[in-house]
Amino acid sequence: MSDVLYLASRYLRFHRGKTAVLVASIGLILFLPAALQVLARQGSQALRARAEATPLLLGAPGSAVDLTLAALYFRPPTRAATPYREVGRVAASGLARAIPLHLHFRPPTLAATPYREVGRVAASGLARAIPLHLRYDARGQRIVGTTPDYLEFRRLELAAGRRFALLGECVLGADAARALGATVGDHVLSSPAGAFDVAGSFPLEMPVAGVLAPSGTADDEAVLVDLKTAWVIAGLAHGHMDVTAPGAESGVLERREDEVVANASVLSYTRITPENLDSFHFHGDPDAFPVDAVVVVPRDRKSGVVLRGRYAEPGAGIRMVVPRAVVDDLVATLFSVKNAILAVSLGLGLATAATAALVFALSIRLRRRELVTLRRIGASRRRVRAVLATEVLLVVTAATLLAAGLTLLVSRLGASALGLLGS
Amino acid sequence: MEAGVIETGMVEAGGIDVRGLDFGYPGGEFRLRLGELRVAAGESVAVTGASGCGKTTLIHLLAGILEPRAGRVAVAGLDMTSLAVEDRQDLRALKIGLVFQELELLDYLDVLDNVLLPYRLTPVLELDAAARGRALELLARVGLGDKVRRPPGRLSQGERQRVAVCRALVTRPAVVLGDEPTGNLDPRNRDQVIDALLGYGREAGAPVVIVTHDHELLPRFDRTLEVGEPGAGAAG
Repeated sequence: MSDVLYLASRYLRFHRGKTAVLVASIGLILFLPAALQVLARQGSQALRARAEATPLLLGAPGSAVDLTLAALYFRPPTRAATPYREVGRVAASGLARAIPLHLHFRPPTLAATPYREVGRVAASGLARAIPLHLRYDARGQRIVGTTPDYLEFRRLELAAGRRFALLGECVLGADAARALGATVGDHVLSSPAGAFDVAGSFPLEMPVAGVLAPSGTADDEAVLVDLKTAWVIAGLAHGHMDVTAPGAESGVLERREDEVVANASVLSYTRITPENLDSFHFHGDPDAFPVDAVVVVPRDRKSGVVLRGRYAEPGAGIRMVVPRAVVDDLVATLFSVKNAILAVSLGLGLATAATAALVFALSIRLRRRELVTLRRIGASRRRVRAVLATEVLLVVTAATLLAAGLTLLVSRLGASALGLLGS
Repeated sequence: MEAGVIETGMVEAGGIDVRGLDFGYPGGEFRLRLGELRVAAGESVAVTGASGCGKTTLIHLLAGILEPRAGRVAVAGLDMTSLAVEDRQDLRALKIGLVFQELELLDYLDVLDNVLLPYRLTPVLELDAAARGRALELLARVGLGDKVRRPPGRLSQGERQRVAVCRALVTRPAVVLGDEPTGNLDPRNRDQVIDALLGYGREAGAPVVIVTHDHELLPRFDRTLEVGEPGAGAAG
């Protein structure tokens, strides 16, 4: 057998170009479906794991998928803005009318849920309610407005510092801290939602209270703040110089009996400090303030069923979804796509196998004189076939090893890439 | 045509003994008949004849590559016609050294591996240090001692044929058969190849039967067999 192996390996080594092409083509055709299978499995496991860890979600009526992805992976609920100049450009073309739409406060993909729903769930005694506000970011890192409960719910460990406790403080996920180059004691500036949005969402300078240990989940990329801090960023609350104080006359537009109207020169604070903390206040009813999703953690299974029943009633105005069911639907869709790709891969595989067989057959024909020589020297037909079969076996083995190596690499890289989808 | 008889002296255990040979390709008109051919150990015979008369066929019959319809071909004391195909292959590997005009070297093996090829193709031969030593010695004797690791593609035609001769002799065959082994060679290389084959026959006491068109070579052989002549062998 060693002689047969020796002859086969010498032939393949001598014709290394042809051998490399065969190994690469067979290897790739084995690798593609295998990698797809691995990635699909890892992806679905990661998706399901985080969904399973999140019992129920509350949100405004609309797409359950949008609500689930927003709550689980902090996907921004609004579309990216288009500069207004595009309207003028279309109009100037003379080819069409351009009608601008400004939807910042009613995002088309995920409408806001009033904060009162958090209180309503808590008041039912059936579940804990953890609000999520996801509309802003700090240099690309999603700012997640929530309650300290969230860290406990996701079992997030602190690598440094402490949880956010004061208005304006933030806790950075491990990747967010790296991306922002910030650590405990530094400040992170929220990105303004619009440079000319005078209604609010001005940049807020937030001191970093803590940094989370890596969790391999979407939390790693988050900037976690108190919900009220998110509302400050949204312009729903603000702090400014005291216009009622003596010496603040320059900031007063009109002084009435029971109220003072400030003029534009009044300085609004962009940084919350112990000195100005008390000046921060809300305008409007906090119960009506928006949250993007509410993670609902039922006391027990029965409580969850009761809550789902309540929110399923017509006219509830708010919907409750089971993330696991939504993700299962999503995964089923992904798997049907995967199966279609696998079917195509199978077709390609058969074509490649046929081509490889043809290459081998033509090769044997070209080597006819050589094979005749072997037979004349005294090799049996079986021995000659063994040499040829070993050549095929070596090529297929090398291709399989190549495919296995690439699949392992993809599974490692895929696992880290998909890590943010993990629980 | 009637089969003839060629007297070649005593048939020894290491010789060749052919009797009443009758061969034809299936569906073909070609026939080769040979009444008797005896080649003694150490004796050399040059086979000549017109193209298509059956010289190559005769070598193939002696080597057990082809099987006659009738008659007996005994080589090294064994009746080839009574052996199964696998046994004939083993006998060929063990006892017969074959050199053909176009017996190709394998381009993916170096010179030494080409010489040792019979050991890698047949389980009845064991590739050991003695075999390697013999291969190296043969290569040195034909002037290729410094080219044992060269691929055949980097050898001249004469050098390649000398490698083929070494491959035929490395197993120390009991019989040496050649089918125009010098057909494409210049006189110097031709003489080197013939010297090696006939020298081995004399030293090892092996019968040497070689097909050749080169009449200059005939005096080097003990005898000449003209295939197609009345009384010898015939293509019909």
